[in-house]
Amino acid sequence: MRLQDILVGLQKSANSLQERTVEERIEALVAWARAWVTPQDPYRLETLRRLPASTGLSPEMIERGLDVAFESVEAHRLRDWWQREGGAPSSAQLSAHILSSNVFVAGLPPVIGSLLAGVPAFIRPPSDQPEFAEVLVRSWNERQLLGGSYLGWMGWPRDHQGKTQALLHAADRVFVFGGDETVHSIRQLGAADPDAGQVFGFGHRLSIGAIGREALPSVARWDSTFENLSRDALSWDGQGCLTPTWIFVEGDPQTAEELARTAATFLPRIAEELPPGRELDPAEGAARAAYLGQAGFEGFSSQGRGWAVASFAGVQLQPSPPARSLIFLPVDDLSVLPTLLTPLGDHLQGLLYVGDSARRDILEDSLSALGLSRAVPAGMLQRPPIDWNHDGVRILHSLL
Amino acid sequence: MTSSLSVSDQLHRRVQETITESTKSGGWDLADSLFDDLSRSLFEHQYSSCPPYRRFCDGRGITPFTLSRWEDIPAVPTEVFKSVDLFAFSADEAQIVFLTSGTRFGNRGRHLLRTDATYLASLAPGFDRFLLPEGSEKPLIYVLAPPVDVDPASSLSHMLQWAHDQRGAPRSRFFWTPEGPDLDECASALRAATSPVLLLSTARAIQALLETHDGAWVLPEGSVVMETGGPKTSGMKFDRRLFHDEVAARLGLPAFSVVSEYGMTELGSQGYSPSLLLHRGAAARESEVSLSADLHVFPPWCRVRALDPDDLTLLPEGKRGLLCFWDLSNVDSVLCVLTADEGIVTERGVHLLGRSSSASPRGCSLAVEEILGGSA
Repeated sequence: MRLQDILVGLQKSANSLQERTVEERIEALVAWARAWVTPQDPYRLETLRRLPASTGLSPEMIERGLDVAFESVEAHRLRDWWQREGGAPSSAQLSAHILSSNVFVAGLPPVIGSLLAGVPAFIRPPSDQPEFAEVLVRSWNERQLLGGSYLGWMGWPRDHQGKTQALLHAADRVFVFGGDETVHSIRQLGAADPDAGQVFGFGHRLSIGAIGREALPSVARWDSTFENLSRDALSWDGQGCLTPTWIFVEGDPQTAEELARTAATFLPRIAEELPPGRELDPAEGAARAAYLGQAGFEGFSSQGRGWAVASFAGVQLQPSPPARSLIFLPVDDLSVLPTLLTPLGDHLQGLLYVGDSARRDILEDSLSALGLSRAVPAGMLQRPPIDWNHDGVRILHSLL
Repeated sequence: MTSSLSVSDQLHRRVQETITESTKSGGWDLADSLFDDLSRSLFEHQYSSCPPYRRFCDGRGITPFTLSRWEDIPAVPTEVFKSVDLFAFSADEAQIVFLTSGTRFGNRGRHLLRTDATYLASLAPGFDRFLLPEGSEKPLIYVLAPPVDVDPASSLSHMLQWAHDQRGAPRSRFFWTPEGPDLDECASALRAATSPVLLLSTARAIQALLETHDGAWVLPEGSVVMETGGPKTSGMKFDRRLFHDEVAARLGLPAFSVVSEYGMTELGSQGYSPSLLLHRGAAARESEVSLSADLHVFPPWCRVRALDPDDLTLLPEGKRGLLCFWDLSNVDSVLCVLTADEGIVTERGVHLLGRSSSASPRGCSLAVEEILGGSA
């Protein structure tokens, strides 16, 4: 099928989707999501079978990703979202979703938001990872939820700009996931066409963790905290923008080292629960060994198959830590973080906090200028709700 | 410090005696028990006299008292030499400071030697065994690399200077100018040579020589070329076997006369491809000789293992991994060094596979270097 035919077909279906009530759309979305978290759902099984090869993620990781993404599609949450940001019919007939690699569900919220707003959605997956988009679209259309085929997809290489231009021209809203360069190039393409849809970009970002000094006296009772920290670090093989790059510890280097040593006793088990999808190649292994070797001289480091942990005597932001690692950095006071992280610009995404929620709120406020859009306890960072607005975009509102 | 110096002196003597013993009468062997014993003694010295290394080992739960086998001695990645002082003596006692050439992060690794005696004792047997035909006269040594007075911090220059001074016939010389290799002079000298030449050079300089001077030479029979440093320093795609074939063809030499050397600032010992040695052996087949370009043989006092990139555990022979060295000639630094080079260790030697530069997939996670600059 030609791209133009798919786009026109979706545009034509917009009226029938808009005619459905919001409650009907919510009901359909929840039913769809429930099917996706049902172990024997054929589309889920197909995804689990096909994605490991192209994404390099393990089946366990993919399964967890699906569960986290679709479990948050709950009726009450969608209703709240609609009341908060929606409430009016959308003028749009088509939304476009340009997705990036590996964290394949990252682009799901705008797709859900689009259907909730009554706007058919077209998905352009990365050309080397089309599987999830294909199965996702079929899982809606073959079920004829709300009586129509409101999702479409097609993949093409990045340099086929003619197709991208056609998509931007046809869509009323465009959601782009990718590096700053990708987002910028799509914006430029859109700017060249006065009829192109409005572009909303979701660039690459990073997250952090922080442990308040008020939490340290109870560290002996922290088993679940260490497990949660480990899950946050290992999810998506460290490739998600919600992966904590560093864990800042409000204490001295010895405290950071003690936490790292304890984490080293939890990580092997969580690494089995969330195994890596592929082996490190020698260049990655060498880079990881160099990073951990350096840490071993300054603080502590340890590693195993699919996990690594380190502490340093002070703050060290470069080079980037290896994937699937927990890196503990001591700071005298967490209030230094906004200044410390200022060089990162507005690329901060999430914060996991171990300690009092009141201090978490204060830290969240002080980091919001750096882009922070989510502050949660350990274990929740990699479980964002469907209505999480980030990168300065109010997703549902933008569709109206 | 006095007692640590005397321990160091004793260890230097023991290592030098071991080198002499293991190469006596054309030998090339060191019993496991002797290697184990000496590596334990070195580890104990380095652990007790190099505080940063002691801390590193303690972090890994390995001390001289808990060490069960030499393979468990904690390996230091070469990158760490750029930021940590790894020597078991006071820095002002260093006789030589070797610096790495790597400038990827703007800083260079340091390897300090309190004395060069063991370094030289380790250097000579390999050089003689793999590069000098048995019983031959001293060759004319031409060096296409800087001499020590030009680059005193280069371990390669030290090695080449030693070869020039100690193994070269009169009229041996360096071809180097303040601007770099003197390719024209070197080409003229090679064309004019009437007795066997041993050309010592980096792979890159030889490549430049061949690129800037057309045609073919016919070097005198018995001439040998030693190249070093190909893929590691240049980052280029490097097929060593093809390179050797090209060098041999252009210089009018049989393929076995082109020998590859593998060495690094952080190690006192070197490895060589054994083509010349194999050719001398009656049992050597031509195919073996030609396959040996990527095979490197290290001296008995320098053991090599491939490690699993995922968890740095030892891999069995024949498996591809990161190369790790236990080099007894590193008396006063650290004897166990982990490189970023890939290779396969077999009974016959180490197949060097170079260094890949693949980037880890990052998904939507941002590498800090993408914002702050540096190498992502």
